[in-house]
Amino acid sequence: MDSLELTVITIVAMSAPLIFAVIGETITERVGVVNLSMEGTLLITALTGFAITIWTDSLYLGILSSALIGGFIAFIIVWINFRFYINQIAVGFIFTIFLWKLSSYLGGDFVRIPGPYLNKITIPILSEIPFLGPIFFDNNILVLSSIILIPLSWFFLFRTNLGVNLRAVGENPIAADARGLSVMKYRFIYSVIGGILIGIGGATFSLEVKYGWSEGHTLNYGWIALAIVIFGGWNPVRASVGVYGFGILQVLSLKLQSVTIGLSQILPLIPFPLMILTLVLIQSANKNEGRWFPKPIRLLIFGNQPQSLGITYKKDS
Amino acid sequence: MKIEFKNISKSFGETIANSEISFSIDGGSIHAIIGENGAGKSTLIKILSGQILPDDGSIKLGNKKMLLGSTIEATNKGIGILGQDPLDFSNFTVLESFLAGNKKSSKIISKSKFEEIISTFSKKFDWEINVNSLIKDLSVGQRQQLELIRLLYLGAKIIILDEPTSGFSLDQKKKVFENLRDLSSKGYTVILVSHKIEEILEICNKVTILQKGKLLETLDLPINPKILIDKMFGPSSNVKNDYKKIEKKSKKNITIKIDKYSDIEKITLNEGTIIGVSGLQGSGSDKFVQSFYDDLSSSKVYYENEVQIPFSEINYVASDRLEKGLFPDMTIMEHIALAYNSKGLINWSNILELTKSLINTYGIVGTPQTQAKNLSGGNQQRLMLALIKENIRLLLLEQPTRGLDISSAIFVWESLLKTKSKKNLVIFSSVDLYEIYDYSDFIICFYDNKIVASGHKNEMARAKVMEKISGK
Repeated sequence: MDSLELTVITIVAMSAPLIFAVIGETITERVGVVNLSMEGTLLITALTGFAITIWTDSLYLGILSSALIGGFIAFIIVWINFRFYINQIAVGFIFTIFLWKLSSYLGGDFVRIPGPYLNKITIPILSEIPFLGPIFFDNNILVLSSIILIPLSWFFLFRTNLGVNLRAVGENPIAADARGLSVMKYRFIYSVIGGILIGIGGATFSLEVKYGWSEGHTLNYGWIALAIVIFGGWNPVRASVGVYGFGILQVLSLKLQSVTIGLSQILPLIPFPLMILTLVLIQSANKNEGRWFPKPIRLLIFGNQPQSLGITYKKDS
Repeated sequence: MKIEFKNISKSFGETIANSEISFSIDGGSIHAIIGENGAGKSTLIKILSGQILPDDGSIKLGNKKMLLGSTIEATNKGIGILGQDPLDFSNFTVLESFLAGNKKSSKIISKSKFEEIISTFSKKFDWEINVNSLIKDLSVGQRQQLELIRLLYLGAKIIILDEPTSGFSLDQKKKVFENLRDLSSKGYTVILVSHKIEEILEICNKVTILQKGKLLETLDLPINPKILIDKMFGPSSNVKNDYKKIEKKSKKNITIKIDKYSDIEKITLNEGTIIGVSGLQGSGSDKFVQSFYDDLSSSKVYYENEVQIPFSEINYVASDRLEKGLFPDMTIMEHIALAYNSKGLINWSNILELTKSLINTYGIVGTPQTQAKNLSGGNQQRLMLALIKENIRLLLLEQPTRGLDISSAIFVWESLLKTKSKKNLVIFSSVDLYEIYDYSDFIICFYDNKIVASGHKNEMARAKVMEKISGK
């Protein structure tokens, strides 16, 4: 295995949690709900996945419980919003802090315990194909699902009628309601599905990328994921490009550590100003409907925020 | 199918929108519902379409009672609504907007199939549409037409139109009316909510009049329009446009620069002129009016000696009252404080006095503590007029009477004309040609974001203006 191939495999593997989280949040926001608890959800589900796996000795039960917790948190955020009309962003933010503190409280006993991790599923012969082999036929189930999820979620959102309905609820709930779509039902179902994906992302952290548990285990990736959703223009494919781009910069900084000491210290910082820059570009492109960009670039960076994103929906007013 | 409303009541807080309304609509007819602003028309049809749950009462379709407050029930029973503003999705493509909530589509979207369906249906309207274009790039009329096509495709048998025609061009309106007549002859029931009496007389069989949330009467048509107006507003109401024009005292010249919209660089007029900008929805006439306020590089107003009217003396009254004109959650008193208080601290007792007197002068139905969002459209417009300060020299009005009934519209114009002598210039846009001819001295015609004709009112024949704004 040459070093380039190894690098690609590393990037794909370490990007898996962010792929789950970003696609989960993309689906959530497409239906008009902001799940701002991302960072907190990732932390608590990373801990849950790891702890349950140690207790039950079953990786799959660990992943399942993370998924359930992720879905449950999303459910609570939407429920509070529909029941008490409290702003989703406020509730999400409080959840972030609450779950972060909770994870460090509950996780005390698990710090730096050597833990279980997912085994690779190797398919003979096919796994020998350069690049594709190790990624698709010699990888663990979480990384594999993260890759499959990208085209699948895109197809669901943009090529199925259910996907159009879901986006309709996020764009204009009043019009969606007039067409007989239940805004409440859609928001509950797809926020919970999004939350489940974020939960799986958390489990992927502790069982696949950074084995085990430590305080603040997810490296603030939750906040990065929220930004990448915007960078991706609420499109799973473009968002995934953002995730892998972020991964490339991270890995590059690790690789270059031994080559040039000064540069390697700057490289990990690069994604953040770069992200602000792209967000500014996207925002200005949206403002002018992208008129001053050449067409290919416009298609690449033009993305519309769901019109009712984060806005409380109240029927009968 | 016969529709029977029985004792429908609905109130929002202290406002009674509908009070024990009972009447029926015959199957296969075109039935109008009319009334002043705030008479409860929109509430009543939103109850029928399931968007609002009434406090009391029932609706029967044929012999069956309908489950109320559920849009799913309403759409299943074949009730389709064409809203005041198109109920669609501006960021979607035509195809996506057509498909949202569509129960007849397969799970995976078949683009070619729906391309064909949309084109077959649009042919009935002599209309062509690219399914890939974005909804926000269409005119309001086109969006309403797409909605109508969608309802028909989904098999709606009862079609509600809630003042939809303000967005239609003259040709579109003719086609839509033709189709509505055709549909009713095939057994479809059409309900038209409107306050345009000429429209109702043109196509409806029956008319139900609502007044202050109560049913007044259901009449067979045709009927003398005078009787209908008297019934709507009471016989004492004065709906004739007999305002008094105030003579111009000064004859100073004033110039408006318009080279961005026209080959002509500028127009010079007498001070005190009212300019009417005529154009259909989406023609750019609203943007033109707005540009005098927010794009001073392209549109300017100045005196002979090149002195521009300062920004502080320009007032822009947007047609989107709640979005651009007012703060929905703020009270009338707070609006007055914002407009009139120039000191650092607010003397609330003075503001309260001022608010009370302005509420009185402008006949706003509301208290100083009423939030702007709880005012009806007509009262919102009155509040916006109350916020115009004395020293304003350039007044910009975008569709000043959009969605207002006749009596509110007349009030708006009367109070505008009263203060006209103090203003150097009034520029307003309107889709209503009557309004343009009734109130302006100088007419500018807009089509496709360009000025296509302009001139003093007496030089501009009505037929010519109509042609120009339709792009002929």
